[in-house]
Amino acid sequence: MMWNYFYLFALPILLFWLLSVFDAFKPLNKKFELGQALLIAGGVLLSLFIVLLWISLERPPLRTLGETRIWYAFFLPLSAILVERKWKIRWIRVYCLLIAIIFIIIELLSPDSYDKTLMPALQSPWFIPHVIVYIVGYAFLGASSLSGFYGLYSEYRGKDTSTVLNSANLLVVLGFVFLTLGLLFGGFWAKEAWGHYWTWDPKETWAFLTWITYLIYLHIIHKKGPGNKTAFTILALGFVVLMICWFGLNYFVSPDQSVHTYSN
Amino acid sequence: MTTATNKDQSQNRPGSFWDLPWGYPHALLLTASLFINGLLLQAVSSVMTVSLPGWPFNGILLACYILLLCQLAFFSKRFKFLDWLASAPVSVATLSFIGLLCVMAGVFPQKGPGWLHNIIGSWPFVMELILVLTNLGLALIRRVINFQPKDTGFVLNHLGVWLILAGMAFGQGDLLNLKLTVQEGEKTRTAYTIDALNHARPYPLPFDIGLLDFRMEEYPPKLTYIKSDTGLFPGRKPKTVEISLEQPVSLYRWTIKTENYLPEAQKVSNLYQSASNSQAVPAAYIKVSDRKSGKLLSEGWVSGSRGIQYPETLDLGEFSIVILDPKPSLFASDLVLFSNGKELSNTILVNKPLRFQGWTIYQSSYDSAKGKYSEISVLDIVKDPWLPVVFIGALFMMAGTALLFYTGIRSAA
Repeated sequence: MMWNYFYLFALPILLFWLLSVFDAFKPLNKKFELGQALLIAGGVLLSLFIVLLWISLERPPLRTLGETRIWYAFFLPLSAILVERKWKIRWIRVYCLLIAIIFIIIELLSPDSYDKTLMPALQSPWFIPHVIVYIVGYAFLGASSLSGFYGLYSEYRGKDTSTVLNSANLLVVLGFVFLTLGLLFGGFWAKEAWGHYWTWDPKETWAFLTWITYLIYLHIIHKKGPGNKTAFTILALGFVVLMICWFGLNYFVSPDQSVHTYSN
Repeated sequence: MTTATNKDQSQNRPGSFWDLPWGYPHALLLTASLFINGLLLQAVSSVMTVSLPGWPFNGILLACYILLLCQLAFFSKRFKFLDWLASAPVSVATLSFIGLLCVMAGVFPQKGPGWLHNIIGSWPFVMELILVLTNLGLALIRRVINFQPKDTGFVLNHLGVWLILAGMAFGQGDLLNLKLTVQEGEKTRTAYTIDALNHARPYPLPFDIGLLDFRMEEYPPKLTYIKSDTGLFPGRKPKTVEISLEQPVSLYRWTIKTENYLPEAQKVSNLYQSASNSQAVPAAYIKVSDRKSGKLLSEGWVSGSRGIQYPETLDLGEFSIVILDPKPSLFASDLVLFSNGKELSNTILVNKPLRFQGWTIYQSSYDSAKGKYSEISVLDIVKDPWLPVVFIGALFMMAGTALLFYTGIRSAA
């Protein structure tokens, strides 16, 4: 019952990450960044929990929403570190950590049921690459959406947004690469499991829509587009589509309409 | 919307909206017109979904289309209109409408009559798809004609997407997705096509399929609790525990000790005995005590249900303890295929299909009322001759995204 011990990991992680958030408001230290070290310490602790959960479940912990949430809470701060080290943009750490913290708290308040079963459709070598690649993609794209919201705010305040746009562009490119791989791996897997690589199942339709949204973004920033504000708006919109695809769907699509239902 | 007469008048004025080169507003106008035309076509069309003919007509059509695209791409440097047709604004506009149609397909259930329930195959979608293929095809051919090494990523990604979309659209007429149900110890060659309205039509296969045996393995069943009066789970996610003979387990406010557990049992005069037949259910004798005080609350048998066997529950007042039906961990069919006097025996599982003479045979389902004692197996039988086109497209895209990743990281450094 690994989930019963989650709080032992979650409380120190929350402490480390909250301290890291506060640290982000101090001026940048060239030699040693305490905030980055704290972020990584929390990440290591979370990865340790994931490993132990994996062992105790005797299957990859990638099946339920709760399980994908902890992976997201793991990858999102990592994408923030990447941006911080490349562009010295501190604010993105604050936002990514706050979202990861919310995810950890959700997990604490509504713990996942401990369920070892893995239905036959999920017993495939594609299971792990398909889900991990998606979560990594979601983490980058989630961070890009935060850039979008921040960019819109900066535009509103009349500030220069070129740096924000640059960081958003990189995050979208990285996220889009993983999203594309997730879509393709899903197709390869579906061909083996269900007979066809694409059936316009609700989850597939929304995944395609997410992909289209970021594809539009990539074409808009190409050459001289309609401006930064439009680009940021698409990123904000992309966030909504992504969230609907990831878990919003569970609330308005009945299980018999979707083959992507693996909860109870 | 600008009307046709507006267009005629404005074309005569210098510096008007219609002067080339065109940009985003024109792209949005074109795609919106296509969308509306699609709606009108859909309104007067007698068919619910647009379909292309099968081989060889789809092949001829595709060859002609590619030839046309090559000619247009060749002239596109001379005509600003064609230059615009291959541009990013047209991509953005048409992708937006494809996105809009996907939102509709994601909101309305895609089953049943009416075009709203068959968005992918409706005229508006097909119109936008033709524009996507044209826009993408022109841009691609132009890059290939003036190829430079730095265009590799562009060509791989766009060619990949084009091949996947074209393979899906043009290959649709040759795709066969059949259902077949076969009894243990029998053979059949009649499969069924199922259309969008759930109508089944028989389709004779070129070979016979025999079922030797259908097998299923299950995960151990779990204990949970329900409300005694309604029989419903108290929350959205039911809390469950595994049955364990070794140690007591805790569930909600109780400690449950399992005294006896029979994976397959039958009720004989208020007692459960091991049995191995199609009515057998999992049963356990449990003792439930209060988690805090340790006081014994109740004890007795709980069991699953199947056929005439009713579920046995342990009443604790407000709640009752029940056994959840075990979930399958594996199901498989031992098949024999007969073709021209030859025989081939093989086992198929979910995620492990069997390929035979251009067909692929998938384990789909079984008689869920009988569960592991099902005497039938339901198979999906698929033939998709255009799969290699889509597959090669996917490989191009994978190479393209790998390159995109590399250049993205490098541009940041």
